[in-house]
Amino acid sequence: MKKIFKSLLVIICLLAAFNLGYSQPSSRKASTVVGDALAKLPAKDMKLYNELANELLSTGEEGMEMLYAMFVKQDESMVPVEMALGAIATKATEIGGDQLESVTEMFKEFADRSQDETIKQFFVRELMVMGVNYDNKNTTLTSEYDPGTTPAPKLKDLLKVVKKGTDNVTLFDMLNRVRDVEAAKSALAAAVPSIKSDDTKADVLWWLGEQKDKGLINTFKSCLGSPSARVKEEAAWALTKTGDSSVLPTLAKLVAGSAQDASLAEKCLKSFPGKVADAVAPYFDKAGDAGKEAILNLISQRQSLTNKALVLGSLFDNSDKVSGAAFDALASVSDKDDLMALFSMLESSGEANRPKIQAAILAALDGLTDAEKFEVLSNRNNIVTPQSKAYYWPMIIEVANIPQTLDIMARNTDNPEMSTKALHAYIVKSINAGENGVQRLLRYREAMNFTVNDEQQCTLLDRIGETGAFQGIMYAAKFLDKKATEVSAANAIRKIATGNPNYYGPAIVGIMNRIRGVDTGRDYSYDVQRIDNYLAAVPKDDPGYVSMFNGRDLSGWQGMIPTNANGEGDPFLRAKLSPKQLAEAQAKADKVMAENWVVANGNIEFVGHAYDNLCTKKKYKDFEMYLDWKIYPGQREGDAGIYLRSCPQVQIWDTARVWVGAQVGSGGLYNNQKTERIPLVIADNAVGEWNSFYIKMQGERVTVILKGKLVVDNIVLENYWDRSLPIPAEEYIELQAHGSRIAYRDLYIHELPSVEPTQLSAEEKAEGFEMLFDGTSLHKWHGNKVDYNVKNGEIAVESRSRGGSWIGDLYTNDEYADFIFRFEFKLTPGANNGVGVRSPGEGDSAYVGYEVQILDHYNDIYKGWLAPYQYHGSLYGIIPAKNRDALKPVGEWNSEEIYMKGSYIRVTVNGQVVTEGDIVEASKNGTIDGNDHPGLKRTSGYIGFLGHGDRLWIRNVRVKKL
Amino acid sequence: MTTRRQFLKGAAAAAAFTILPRHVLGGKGYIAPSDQLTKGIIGFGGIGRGHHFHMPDRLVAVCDVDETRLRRGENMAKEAGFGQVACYHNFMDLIHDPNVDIVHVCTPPHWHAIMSIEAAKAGKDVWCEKPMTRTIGEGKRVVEAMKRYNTIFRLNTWFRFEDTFYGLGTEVAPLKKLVDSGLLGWPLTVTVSKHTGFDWKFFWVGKEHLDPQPIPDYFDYDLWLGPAPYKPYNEHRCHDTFRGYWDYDAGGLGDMGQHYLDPVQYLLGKDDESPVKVEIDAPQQHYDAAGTWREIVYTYADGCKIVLWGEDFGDPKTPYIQGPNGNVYNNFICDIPGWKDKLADFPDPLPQQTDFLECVRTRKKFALNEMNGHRSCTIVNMGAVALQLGRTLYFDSDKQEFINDDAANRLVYQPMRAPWKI
Repeated sequence: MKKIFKSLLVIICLLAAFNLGYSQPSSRKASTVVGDALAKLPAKDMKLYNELANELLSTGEEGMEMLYAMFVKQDESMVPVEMALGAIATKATEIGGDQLESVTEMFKEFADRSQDETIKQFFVRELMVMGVNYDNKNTTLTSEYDPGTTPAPKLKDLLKVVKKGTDNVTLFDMLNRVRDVEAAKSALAAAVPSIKSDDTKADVLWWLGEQKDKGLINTFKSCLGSPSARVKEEAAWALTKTGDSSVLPTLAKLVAGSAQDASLAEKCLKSFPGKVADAVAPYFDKAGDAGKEAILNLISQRQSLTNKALVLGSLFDNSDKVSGAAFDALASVSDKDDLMALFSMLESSGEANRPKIQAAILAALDGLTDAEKFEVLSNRNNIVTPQSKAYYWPMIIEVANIPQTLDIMARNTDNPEMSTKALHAYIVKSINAGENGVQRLLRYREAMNFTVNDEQQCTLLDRIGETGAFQGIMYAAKFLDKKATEVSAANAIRKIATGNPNYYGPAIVGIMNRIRGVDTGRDYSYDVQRIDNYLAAVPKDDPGYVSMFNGRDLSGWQGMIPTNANGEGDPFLRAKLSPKQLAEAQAKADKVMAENWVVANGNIEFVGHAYDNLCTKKKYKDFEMYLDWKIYPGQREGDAGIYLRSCPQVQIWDTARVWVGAQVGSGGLYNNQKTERIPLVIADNAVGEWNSFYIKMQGERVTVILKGKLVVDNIVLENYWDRSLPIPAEEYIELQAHGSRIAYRDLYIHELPSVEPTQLSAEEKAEGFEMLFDGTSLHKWHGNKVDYNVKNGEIAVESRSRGGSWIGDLYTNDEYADFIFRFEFKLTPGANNGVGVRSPGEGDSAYVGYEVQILDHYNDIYKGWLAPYQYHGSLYGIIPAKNRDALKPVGEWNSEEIYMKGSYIRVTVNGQVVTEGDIVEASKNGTIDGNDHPGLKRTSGYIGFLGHGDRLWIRNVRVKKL
Repeated sequence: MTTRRQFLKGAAAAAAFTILPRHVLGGKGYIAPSDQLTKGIIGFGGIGRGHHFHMPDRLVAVCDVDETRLRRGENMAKEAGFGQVACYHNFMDLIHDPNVDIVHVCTPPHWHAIMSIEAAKAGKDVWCEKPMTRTIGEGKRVVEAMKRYNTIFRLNTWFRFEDTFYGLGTEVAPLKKLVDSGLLGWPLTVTVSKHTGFDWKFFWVGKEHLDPQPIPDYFDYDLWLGPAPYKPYNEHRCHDTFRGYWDYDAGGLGDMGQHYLDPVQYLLGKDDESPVKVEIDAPQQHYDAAGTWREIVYTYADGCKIVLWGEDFGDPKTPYIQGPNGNVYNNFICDIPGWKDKLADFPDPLPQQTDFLECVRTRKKFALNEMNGHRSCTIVNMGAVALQLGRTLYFDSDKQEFINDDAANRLVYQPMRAPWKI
């Protein structure tokens, strides 16, 4: 073994000398290389994989022994070890030579040494990749097998058999084994005339045809006259497969033959290139009915306008088949000049040909946009007799857009068949347009207004079940009272609720209990089970979604109290009113509300002209809510909005009002100045149509989904009344009045648990500490706010997102020179992070600033190879942590303090000092990691968390400047 | 040659004229059992018990190394009206059952080559599930054996000749017509991803660490493994989850690869050649458990490319087929102005032999046979090799080996555990 290791070392040195991509600094120990690699394996892409594989290979026997030792221990984190050994094997195989041999020897040795079958098989398999059949008692390499050659039949024998005639098994056995195809081809072609058996001749023709050889055309042609249908058929197909233009007249002529010939010609010519229709057309008069039919079908397939006359002339042929084929072909030869003729034909045609004429009309309109087609057809439809209108509607439905289709449904309330046709088209168009569930629910509710029978209502309810939209549940519930729609409504409700277990609340639970008793037919018992599963999963300690509007009056709502000359309702000024002033102001506001806000059409509607918002009586902290809104048409200033915590606002406006910038769409946080105020996408439905909001407010951040499209993505809502302060923690929700007529419906709110901000202790307050993260917001931080995510009052450091990459560290907004920095953290197994101090805020803080290591150094993957300066609490690469036992076990919270003054640093973990020292002193003879630390010169900078893509949690972060 | 195939001699001539279903040779409404083709199914897992009872042939034998599955097969055959079928533990017994004409290979892929070849040697015709073989080397052996033993072989995927092609919203035939017309230009790039309607089913990933478990007494694990390396038993290796392990298959690529890629090969007219290069973008693969990947790109000698994207990787607006003169999107939408009218001038693709039982009788090659099936399976297996090695590979389409690359070629010709060899 020693010898191998030596030769390996020599190779590695040689490789390094030739600069074969070994980036590994010679000073790094095998243990460091292995440890680093294990932390990064499995490699996320090829580049990293190659890097790591080269590094691992360079560790030689020492590294492999280290990995083997870990492998034998077999605990849960062995995948990186397997990946490392696998990378060594694969890389060695790629390089080959002595290096491969060395690794091979090691792996054989491991396979022998191992007692465990899994481990043994691992090495056997890797040895196989390296080309060694190690477990050779049990395996054979397929490459060792000599397939030999299948004996080819002698040409002489083949010809003998063919001429004599034989069964197909014997014949194909020979034909399939032919090696010299060229020789066989010409010999067989020459023999064709003398083959007596028609079946054998046909088989030979098929085989020759498969060769697609133009040189054989004459042979094939000579067989076309055969009395055997099989021979003729194979000859025709063989000619077809040549694709040669010289064949076309020959095949075309067949249409004038027997009915069987004509049908054969049609089949062949459909797959034949060139001017096929023109080639067959001259035979039209000579052809029988079957031939005429074939010709018309070919004209239709090639859309041959030059032969239009044949089609038109055959429309009223005595043969139903010929006439039918002509009508079938009509669409392929029609253009816009034929439109008027086709219109008259449609209006006078019998029922059978009507769909074909309709297809021809649509074909004649080809090239126009759907909107233009709609106009042409609608114009005609407007002037024809009521009976003929029915012939136009199906075409109009086909080209109409979604609202036009609904309009057709509305106009056909006296014609259930057409109305249903329109309804189905309306549904399909919405789905095909890729409209999401929320939008489709709005569409379906609109269509419900024009339904003419229960069947249509059931159709819509079934579709509502597919939308998965929250409001679909409450809407469908309205149809539970009618026997005819009860089952469809119950199915829709069940589908939505069971597919979305986060939809719950007293009303929904009530409805679910009710539909439990609706017999839905065959799957009833399964349905009940699904409902019970849903009900069992409803959280008991959370009320869920509750209605904010009872549908009858404005209970639960009150007028907004104006607090300034502009009539705005500033909650901070309102808070200054005495109870008596407040009561009086509220009474006055309620009176105004009663005039301007009404319940109409089952909606809450603003009918006034002023700016008096409608306020909830209840104050809300964190919540998510659904509501629908609609701007009435015909107003110049269509505008409204939703105030959250009494602050403006989630914007609603008529996107036509470009003079105020409304073209960006609704849903944006209009009054923001520092954070985003423009919606991500324009998702509005037209004025006069309903829109759906989902609004979520968590802490200071707001998410808005308009009609199923994300328009505001977790954006901080600024405090409009005083921008130096964050948004109030609790206030009213207000429906904005902005002088124009607005309707709101289906308001449901779910209050969410909210985080109480962490407070400084009395001592820290007295000492002058500042809270940097109190659990609610990162507004004192900059940098990576995506992977550092505020959740449940903590900063959750997310693992690198799949397919993406780590996009940086999180830094304070301020810079700190001398300071005390305190925080709490919780790790996952093996997690690695770090606190950057005096950092420039970019680059690798461990070198360009300083890094105080965060690491679960208890984890086995680090065992035996961590450098002293890599343990938790170390000033990375400069001052090692002396105390390695202060960290609590993974999963428990730790507290830490970093004290830095001048060149003195002290790190305290859970009350124990782990690192203490003088930076200048520690680095006077160079740093202990041997690396360049340009950051040693820095005296001030940002404090930050330095991500390594591992999961951990941070909370209660505070700082004091010294 | 067996007596059954001898019996079929001459039957084709009779069959070729009838417009009745092929098996109705005994007269209208009567199927003489001796005239009907018979079949034996090896492997009663998800595929075996799935959808193979509707075939107009007669099931006479079933085989499985799992006793519970064998009984299930026996019962399902009864329920389907085949009466008592022969039940075999060892596939060699089924293959050599003189009552069996067609051997239907429904096992995991590591068995496909051996069983197909053994069936061919025994004079049986073969219906083999996809992927055709687990390695390129095994595929070459199958091609050779089918030729040597004059076997009719069907690789069972069908999208090149029927059915809507997954999420693409169209059958393949009209696409073939458009490609062959030349309107799109050449070379073409075909993108097979979730965006174009093809899900690579990454739930077929294997588990990276399997604890040894006791082998159930009703299960012959040794025979189930057959030519595969003997690894300690864990139920996740076998039955419904075997696709996640390189020893038996190749994850989602192995499962769906041939379904998705065979029609692409047909569209591009590449039935007689293989790509010359395969590139991957993927995380490092585990030695045992197949993992996920982001991208696999195949390039043919003439510049045509096949691009595979895993999960949501890539631009959702990418066309299914990209050509120098135009693109084709899902639902057969083309962006060439007036393309429908232009396309009408061109012929339909040539019809294909798509009735397997008729092929068995006439001895004509089935539309998707060992030759083109092996080529499309090679696309899958090239990807699997590149994934396992973690690098770009170059392929010799004629020799069907990687070029100057011993490591990759070792995965072309992998060892088989004794006594199995082909």
